[in-house]
Amino acid sequence: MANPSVTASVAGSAEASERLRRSEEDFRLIVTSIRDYAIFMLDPAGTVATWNAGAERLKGYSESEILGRHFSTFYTEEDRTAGKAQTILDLARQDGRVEDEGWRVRKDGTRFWADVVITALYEADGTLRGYAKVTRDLSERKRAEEDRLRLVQAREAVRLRDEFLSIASHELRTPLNVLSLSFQTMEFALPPDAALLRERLGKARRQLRRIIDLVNRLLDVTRIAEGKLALVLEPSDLAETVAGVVDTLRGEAERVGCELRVTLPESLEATFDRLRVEQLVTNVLHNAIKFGAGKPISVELANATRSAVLRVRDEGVGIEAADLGTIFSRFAQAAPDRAHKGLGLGLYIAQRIAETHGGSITVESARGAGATFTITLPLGSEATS
Amino acid sequence: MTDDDLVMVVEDDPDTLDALRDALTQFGYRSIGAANGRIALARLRQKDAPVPCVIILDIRMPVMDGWKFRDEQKRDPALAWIPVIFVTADLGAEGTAAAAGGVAFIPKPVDVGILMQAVKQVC
Repeated sequence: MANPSVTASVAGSAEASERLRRSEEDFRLIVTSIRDYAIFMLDPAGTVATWNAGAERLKGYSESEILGRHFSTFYTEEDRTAGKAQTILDLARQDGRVEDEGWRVRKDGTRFWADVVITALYEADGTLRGYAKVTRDLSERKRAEEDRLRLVQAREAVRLRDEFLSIASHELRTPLNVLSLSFQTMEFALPPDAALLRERLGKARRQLRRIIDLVNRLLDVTRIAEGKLALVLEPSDLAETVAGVVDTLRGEAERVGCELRVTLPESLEATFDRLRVEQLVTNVLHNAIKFGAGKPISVELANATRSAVLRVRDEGVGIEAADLGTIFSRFAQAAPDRAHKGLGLGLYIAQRIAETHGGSITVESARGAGATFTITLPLGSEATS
Repeated sequence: MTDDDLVMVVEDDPDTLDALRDALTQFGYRSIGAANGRIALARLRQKDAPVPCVIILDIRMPVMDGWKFRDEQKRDPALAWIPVIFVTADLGAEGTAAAAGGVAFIPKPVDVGILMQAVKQVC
């Protein structure tokens, strides 16, 4: 008959063995199955002793391909020449563990940005058993950081440019104002019979007027960029405002052969910034004349109960589908060529004015089929800032 | 006892000041200039200083700007009654100019015809 205590201790140790075996299996399962981290062992010389699913996914080598090879295989040419692999192992032994971030190389030669932790492993008696290496692919994070940095730099560059434009525009105004005064004094000083001189002076004054207008637009653009487009809202007649702009631009339209067909109500009461809305309508109508190819332009204002709708339609060169998205952007000219001068700011300013009023401006067009600009302005005051 | 044909021009840019005084000369006015509000007040307060019939006042000036000058002027009974024409490149200053009691508000670039009309009204 078997000795019961011996049987018990044999059974006990078999149970303990089984528990140990299962727990070892558990750990092995953890390490081998994890795919997000490369977790493997190096022997004291730095050759790869174990491998896992994460290591294969990250670095591209299968277990049979990599076991026995030195881990400096994963480093870049530069790092290998610099002896980085050995330095890192030395640090791991010295400090117990070392963390490093840097480029690593996959089997196919491509690089990825890695976060690596190497821990020195010791036997019970203190001898070095090897190293545990855990590597994480940080490429995504690095890319996001780089994108963020580039965005910050781009924003700063735009801010600096806007600041410069603002300063430049302000500086330009002073000599322009002096020039304007000089021309006026000259004109007043002309004898009554100096017709030719008066005409020449008149032409010079018109050019000056053009420069002043361009500089004012630049100034408006920088003010808009700084969020300083302050509207002076007052009840006024929108129909009268539009009529005024049409009258002002009629001469210019006639000069290029664009017949203006205007449909306005008797009056249209609304609350708006008269100066700015004049500017808006001028810019849009001016654009229609500029690109209207000498064909008729229709200007229609209608009361749509809560808002006013102004449609400016030309039958000229039209706008390419690809350009429709950027036509209201700053410095975007859909048909940039020498015949069309200016800074390309008119429509941008027009849109900003419309939107600051709480309204909108849209365009429908196709190449060679003219363009229709639809401006909507709330009748009441719904201005935002 | 104002000098009916004496105009004071307060403007910090020397070229603009020159050009305004030129225009005034052309229309038969004499003028005195000042580069900012403080200098203007000092000149007006000098003993036996001639009194202008109107002050053409720029708003944006260093040391003492147009608004501060106007406040100081109104506080001084010897100077408060002198009419002021505001001149400025700033849009939207019109309301403040009216509140400050200016005779006229002329935007830059100055239209000489309009400026002279305003001067003639008070001088």
